[in-house]
Amino acid sequence: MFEDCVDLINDFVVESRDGLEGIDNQLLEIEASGENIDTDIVNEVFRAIHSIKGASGFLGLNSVGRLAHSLENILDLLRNGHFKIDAQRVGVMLSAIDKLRFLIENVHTSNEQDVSHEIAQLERLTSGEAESTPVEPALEVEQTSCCTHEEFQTATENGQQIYEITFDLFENTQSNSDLTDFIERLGDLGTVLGGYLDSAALMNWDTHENEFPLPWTVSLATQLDRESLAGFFMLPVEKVKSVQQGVELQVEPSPLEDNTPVSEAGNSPEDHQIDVPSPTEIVHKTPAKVQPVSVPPAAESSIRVSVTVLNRLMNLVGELVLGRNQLLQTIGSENDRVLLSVASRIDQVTSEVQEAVMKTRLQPIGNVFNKFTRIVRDLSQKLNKQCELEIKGKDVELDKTIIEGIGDPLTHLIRNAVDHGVETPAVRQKAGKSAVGRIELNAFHQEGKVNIIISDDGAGIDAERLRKKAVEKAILTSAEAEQLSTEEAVRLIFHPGFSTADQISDVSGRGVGMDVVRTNFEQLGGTVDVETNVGKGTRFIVRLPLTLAIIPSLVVSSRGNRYAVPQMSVSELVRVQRSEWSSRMEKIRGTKLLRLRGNLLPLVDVNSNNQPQADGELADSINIVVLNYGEIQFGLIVDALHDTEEIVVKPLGRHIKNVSWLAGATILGDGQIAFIIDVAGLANQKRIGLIDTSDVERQELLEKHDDQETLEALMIANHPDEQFAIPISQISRIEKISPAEIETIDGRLVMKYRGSSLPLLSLERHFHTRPIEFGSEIYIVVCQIFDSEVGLITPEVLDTHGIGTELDTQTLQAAGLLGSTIVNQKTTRVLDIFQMAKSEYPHMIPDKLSVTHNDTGGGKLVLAEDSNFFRSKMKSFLEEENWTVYDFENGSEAWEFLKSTQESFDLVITDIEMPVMDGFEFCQKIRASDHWNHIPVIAVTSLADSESHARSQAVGITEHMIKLDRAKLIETLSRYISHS
Amino acid sequence: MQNDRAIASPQKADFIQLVTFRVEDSWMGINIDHIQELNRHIEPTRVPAVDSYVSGVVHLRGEVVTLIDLRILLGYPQAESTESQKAIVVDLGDERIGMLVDHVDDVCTFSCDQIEDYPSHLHQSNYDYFESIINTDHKVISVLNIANVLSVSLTH
Repeated sequence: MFEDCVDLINDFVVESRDGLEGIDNQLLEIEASGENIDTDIVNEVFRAIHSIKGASGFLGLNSVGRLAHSLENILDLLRNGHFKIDAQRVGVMLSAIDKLRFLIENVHTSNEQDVSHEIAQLERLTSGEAESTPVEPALEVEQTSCCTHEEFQTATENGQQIYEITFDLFENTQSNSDLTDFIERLGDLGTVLGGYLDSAALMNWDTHENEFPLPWTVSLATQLDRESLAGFFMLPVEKVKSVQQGVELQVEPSPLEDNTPVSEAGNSPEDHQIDVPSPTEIVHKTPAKVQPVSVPPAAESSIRVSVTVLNRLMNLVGELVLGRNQLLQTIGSENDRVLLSVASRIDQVTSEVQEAVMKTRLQPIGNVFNKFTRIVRDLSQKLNKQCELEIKGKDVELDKTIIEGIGDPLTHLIRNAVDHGVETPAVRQKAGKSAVGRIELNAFHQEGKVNIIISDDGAGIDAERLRKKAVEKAILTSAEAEQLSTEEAVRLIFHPGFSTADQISDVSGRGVGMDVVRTNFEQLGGTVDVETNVGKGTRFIVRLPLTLAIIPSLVVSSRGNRYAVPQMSVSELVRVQRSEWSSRMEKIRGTKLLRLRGNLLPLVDVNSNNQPQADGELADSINIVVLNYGEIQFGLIVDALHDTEEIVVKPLGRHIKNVSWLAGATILGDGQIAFIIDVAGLANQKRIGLIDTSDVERQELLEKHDDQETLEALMIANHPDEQFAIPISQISRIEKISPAEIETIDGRLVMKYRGSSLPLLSLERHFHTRPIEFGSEIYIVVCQIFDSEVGLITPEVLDTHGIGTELDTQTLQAAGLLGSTIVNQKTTRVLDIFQMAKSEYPHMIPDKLSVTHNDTGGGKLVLAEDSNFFRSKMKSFLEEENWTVYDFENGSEAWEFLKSTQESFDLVITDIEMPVMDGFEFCQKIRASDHWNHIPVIAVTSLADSESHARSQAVGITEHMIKLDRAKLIETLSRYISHS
Repeated sequence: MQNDRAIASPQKADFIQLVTFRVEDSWMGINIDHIQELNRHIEPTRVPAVDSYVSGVVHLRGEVVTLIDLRILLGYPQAESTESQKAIVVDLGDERIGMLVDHVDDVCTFSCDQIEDYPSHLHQSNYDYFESIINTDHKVISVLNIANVLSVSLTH
């Protein structure tokens, strides 16, 4: 078209696109504000439209200009208060803006587009309101959509395709002696349906003489394909466009959709019948997109980068140059120390440059989410529904490529939520729900991936209906359908050619769609899953990788290969000594299990597939990385643990992509390759989820060892013959320091730590111990006491160990001791850090937490706990805080008491695992009674696994906490008493 | 796009340039347009759970590149690695892949008249992997169809 202005036009497109981006939401905001119009927003919209108008005039984009002008008129009236806004009017303006957007995305053909309809509608809005509205006279515009619906039908029935071919009238026909001759030749190829000249070009014709092209567009129905047509006329393929039902399909697929079934819909002839066929045919067809017009960005190769990031990059590159100069100088001088410092400087700057460059590619997901407000509004109006869209996590950033790819599939899911998910207000009210449906769009990071959850509180998906549909459509036999679990049946919606809408609407439900959604996400390396609850709603869970993002990972090795495990998934590292194997490792049906704190943890080995178990049986110990996959935990057996590293994800080639548990590869600092483990893929591949917790054998194994409740504790040694234990629940972390860092101030031990002083506790000051021999390194066990922290000095940290809770509280008694027990044939004193801190640093325990109740003289509670040790300890903690405690040995006793008593209590504390009546049952009884159903019930357990957590919620337990976390317990209790 | 097309049909010129190489006792060639570089054989990082013809991945200037052992892919017995082994790195547009061959000979120019269709009775099982043969005075060179050789669906 305008060869010289190509750059200018591209700039115009990019700028206009930005300008139009927020307009939908701004207009909706204006609509919502009603009478009290915020002129600032109106002005913003006005400015955006105004600059489009200005530039379009300069570039000769007449259609864009005229439409923008009409919009501008209305906005001007609006801003001066001469125009009242309502939903219908906003609707007209929005559709005009849609048209404008379409023109801009197809800027090179925009002048051929008919905008008179939109302009007329806009004028109709103003005619009543303003005295006189200056509007440019509408020019006669050429017919664009060159074929009628009937013509299209006929052509399709004859197996023909309709194409728009754009010739340069001057050049293409010159070689053919005569124009009529040329038209005759066209007729030989098929049926000529019409043609038109580009009038804008015509106007410039004489001024530019012969150099200026004169586009002449002919529409032709023919059986030939696009390439042959182009070849026949010796035209570039872009000049031949295929036409579908009067809608002009964009020919060039956007790069992202390249090779997808979606874009093929526009290209390959056999897919063109997608609009016509009966649903049964569709089942076996390549899926096509429901919305046929996918507008590829005209100038998508540019990116916006904030000046701050750019400046930072510039500075970093400056530093890099400086570093290089230093390096070159130093190499000559052979001064190793300087060389080292230069190297480390370059190292640092390089990683910062890397990070900054990555940042330029990241875009907030809000760019995609923002348009959904409008979509939900328009759709629900159209369908007479009421929907509210809540958007969370707009700031989550994803790589540009992914951001661009998720728009279409997400739109589809949102449309589905409004169309199929949310019911009509009448139906909703009948079901006892609010008339307004809620749709939530939430993005967040998890396990190194970005999750997007689209949930609605609508009707849910009926698995039974899906089973029936699948059988009707011959996708499954009825026997197969019955075997499907509910979850599997619901996932049938992702099967090609599945439609559940009873009535096919023009919004969704044409039998194609969800499988395309799945394909789209999978092409971006993501997954989509569905959860539904009939009558309550549906959730779609989309997981996307942050390709190019930097993932903090733990590097491990196994049989010579190195693997990077995303730190997000790592829950802990466990080393099992050889002597412990027999007691800690079990096997059920070929699956290895590790006994870990009263649970059995399934173990996997990445190499078990291709190598027979050489089993690390020769090693002294094995290392296990405990991984989290959703609710499931499992252990990965590795040969060695290396370092944690920030790794950059590199994609794996096509031959390796099918290894589902590899998420990619990375290049480590030494240039070697490490594979990135996809924890979800690994769990699925090794069928971890199938190792059922209800397994009988498993239960038996568990019970074999679980007859006594254990308390996980960190073992520390003061001296080879003297060891102590600290309950894990009290520990925040462990630091390694040099003894020189410890200072004595005012008789107290402190160390500088994270910008402030950390008070320290020394075993010697509290107990009779052997003298401590410090090496060059000592450990500080850091514990949280309310808002402050305290550190315990120890020369050696041994291991964690499960210790029986029936501690001996008689033999060794001292303030700061919970009791003593025998671990590894050694008497071990179990420390009470809280008590130690309290005696040495009383200010750490806030006064307000000591409960003083005016009427009763203290809070009153019921405590059910079967372990004598825990019961007496907790009772004494609580009594110190002025609580009155009524304690019982199990749920049943406590419940009998509650039933008969006349007294009132502030709350109930209960253990979960108890004989006769456990904590769950106890709480159920409480919740079922009339008198006690509102009392807070706090459950204390020795380990907080997610399973019991879920069950706690189900039976109505108010809060869940870890035993012996004294500070937290007191704090929690005081919160409840202040409530009551 | 451009690259895909280049792979699908060799350039319609009067001459083609091939990099010729040897696998076991067969001479083969790859159109030079597909080739990015030739590399000495670097010991690859083995990948667990993949087909045996994937010999591993190598680090090539910031990229992780799959290395295919052409011997195994074409059904020849596995062999010890030698000094003369080379990795031919081809550019498929969206991915670079290395192909391990026994010995790289030369870059030769052939006139299009020398190109013949690949005889269908040869190498029945590998038929799709070759697009043509070139008959020279000394030897017969089979020209690889890169798109097919490196297509995952065909090789699986």
